[in-house]
Amino acid sequence: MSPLTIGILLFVATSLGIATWKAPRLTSILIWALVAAILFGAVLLLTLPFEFRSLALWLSLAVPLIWLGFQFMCYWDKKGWRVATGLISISIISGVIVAMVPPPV
Amino acid sequence: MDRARHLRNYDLHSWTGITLGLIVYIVALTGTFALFDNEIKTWEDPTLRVAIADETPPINDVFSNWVEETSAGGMELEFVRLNFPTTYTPYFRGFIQYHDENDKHVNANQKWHALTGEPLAERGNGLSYWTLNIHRDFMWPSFLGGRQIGRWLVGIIGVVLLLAILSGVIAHTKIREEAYSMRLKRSQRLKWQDSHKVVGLWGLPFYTMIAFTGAFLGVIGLVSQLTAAIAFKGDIDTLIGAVLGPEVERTGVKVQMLTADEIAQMRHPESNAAPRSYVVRNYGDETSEIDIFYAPDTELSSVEIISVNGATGAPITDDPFKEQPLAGHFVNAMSPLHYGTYGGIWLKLLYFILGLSLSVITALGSMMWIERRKHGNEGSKSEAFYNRLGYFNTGVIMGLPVAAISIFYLDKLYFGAEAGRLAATGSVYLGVWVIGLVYAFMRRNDYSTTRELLILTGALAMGIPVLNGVTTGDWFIAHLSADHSAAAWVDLGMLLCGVLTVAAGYLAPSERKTKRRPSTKIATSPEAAAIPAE
Repeated sequence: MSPLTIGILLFVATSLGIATWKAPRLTSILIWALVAAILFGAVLLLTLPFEFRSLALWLSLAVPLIWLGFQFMCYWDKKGWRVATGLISISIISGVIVAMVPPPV
Repeated sequence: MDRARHLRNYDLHSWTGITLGLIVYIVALTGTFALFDNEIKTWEDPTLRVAIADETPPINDVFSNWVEETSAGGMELEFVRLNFPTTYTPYFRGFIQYHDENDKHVNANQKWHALTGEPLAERGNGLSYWTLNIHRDFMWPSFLGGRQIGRWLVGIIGVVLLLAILSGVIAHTKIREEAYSMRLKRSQRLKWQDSHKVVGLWGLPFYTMIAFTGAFLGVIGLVSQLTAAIAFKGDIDTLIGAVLGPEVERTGVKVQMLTADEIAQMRHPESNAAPRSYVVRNYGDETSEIDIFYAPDTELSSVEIISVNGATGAPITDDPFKEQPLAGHFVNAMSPLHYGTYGGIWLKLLYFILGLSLSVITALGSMMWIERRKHGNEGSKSEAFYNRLGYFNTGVIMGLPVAAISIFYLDKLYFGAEAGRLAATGSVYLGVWVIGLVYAFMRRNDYSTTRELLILTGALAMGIPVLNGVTTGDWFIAHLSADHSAAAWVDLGMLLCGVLTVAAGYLAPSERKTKRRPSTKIATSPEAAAIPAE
C-alpha cells in the first residue's frame, strides 16, 4: 500500500472518528447504518443455510430494509453513543466473519 | 412513548422531509409522467400510431442478413436479440453485441416496419426518453459519474421516503382521529397540515409500496451487489456464476440456427401467447441457447422466459439455473408493482392520482416547515431568510410541472437534427424549470406564484391536443376508439388534467390571509419549539 493511500485512509478514518464523536446519530444515519447493513447482509449471505441463489435474491429484497431499520434505530435509541458503537460493532464483527468464512461456492 | 423519543422521531421525520423532501417531490411528480411512458411514446412519434397484424409477417431474411452484414460474419457475436412488434412498439427491432477487430464490444440496433420489413429511420430520443429517465436516474450527467449514479440516488431517495413514512406514522400518535380531521375553515397552515396527514394516512399502503419498490429498483445495483461482492471478496465472476449459472463456452462447431420466423411461431405451452422477443447466446454454435420472452402468465411479473436449444428448439429442462425460485418471483414483481403495468389503464390512472397525491404531500410538508418558521414560533433565522427559502421551494415545486409539459411542445415544434433532439429536450426542460424558479424570486409572493404557475401549467396541458392535431393531423376525438388510440387518450388526459389544474389555480388564494410573526423568535426551549402545532 502506497504512503498516499495510507494517508488518505488515515484522513478518512480520522474524519469519521471526529464526526462520530461530535454527532453520533447523524454520522450513524448517514454512514454507519449503510456500512453495517452491507456487511451484515454479507454475513447473512455467507452463513444462512439456504440454497445460495434463493438466499441472494431474498437478501436483495431484505438488505434495503435492514438499512432502513438501522437508520431508524439511530434516532430511536436514547443514547447517541450507543447507536454509533452498536453500528460500528456490527460492522467490525461482520467484517471479521466475512474475512474468515470462505465464499459458499 | 417518552417525550424525548417522540421529539427525536418527529425531528427525524421533519428533517428527512425538509432536506430531501424536494427531491422526493421531483421523483414522485416525474414518476406520474413516467407511468405513461408507452402512451407518450405513441404520442410523440406518429409513425407508431399503427395497428399490428395478428400473425407476425416473415422477418428472418431481413434480420439474419443484417446480423451477418453488421457483425462482418457474426462469429464473435456476444448476443443477438430480436423484438417482435407489439401494440406500443409496432415494429421489429434487432440488437446485436459483437467484438470488432480490436476486440472491443460494439452494439448495433435496427428497426424494421411491422408489415413490410423495410428499415425504419431512427427517431432521436426526446420527450418519452427524458420523461422516463428523469424519474429513473435524473438523467445524471456523465461528468458527475453517469446514469448509474443517478439511479442509485433515486434508490436512496426511496429509502429516505420509507424512513419518512415510518417516522411519520410513529410521530402521529392519534392516527385514527387524524385520518378524518380536515379543518377547512381554519388557518392556511392547519389546512395544509390536515391535508398532509389525511392524504398521507389514506395513501399509506401505496406510498410504502412505491417507496420500497423504488428503493429496490434503485439501490439493488448498489447495496445488494456490494453485499454479494464483499461476501465473495471481490470475485465478481464467481458470484455471477453462482447466481446466473456458469457461462457456456463455444465449441466452434457450427450449426444451422432456428430462424426468427420459426421462433415467432413458438407459442407459450400454457398461455398460448406469442413471443415478444428472444435473445440468442453463442449464435451459430452448437452450444447456442435461445431465451424466448413471453408476456407473463401472471401479470405481476415482468416477463416469462422459456429457454430452448438454438439449433433444435428443444426446451432446456435440466438446468437448475433456468428455474425461477420463489424469491425470483418477488424480485420480478418489483418493476410491474412500481410502474403499475399489471392491471391496464385504469390501474395506471389510480397510480397517477396516488402518485400526484404523494407529490402534494411532500410539497405540503416543505411548505409547512417554512410556514411554521416564517409565521410560527419555530424559526431561528430572519424573515428574509425564510422568504428566500419559500421562493426557492415554490419555484422548484411549481416550475417542474410547467417544465414537464413544455417538452411536449418542444417535441412537436423541434426542427433540428434528430441526434440533437435529446439535448434540446433537456435544455428546454431545465431552462423552463429555472425560469419558474426565477419567476418565484421576482414575484416575491409564494401564493401568487403558485396560483399563476398552476394556471399556466393547466393552460399548457389544455393546448396539447391542439398541438398534436395541428402538427400531425390526428385530432383526438376521431381516434379514441381506433386500434391505435393511445395518443388520442394522452390528448384527452392532458385536456382533462389541464382543466382541473386551471380550476385549482383559479380557486387558490393569491396571498396569505393573515400575516403574523412573533417578535421573539424562539419559544421557551428548543424542545418546546420542535413540537408540531396541532
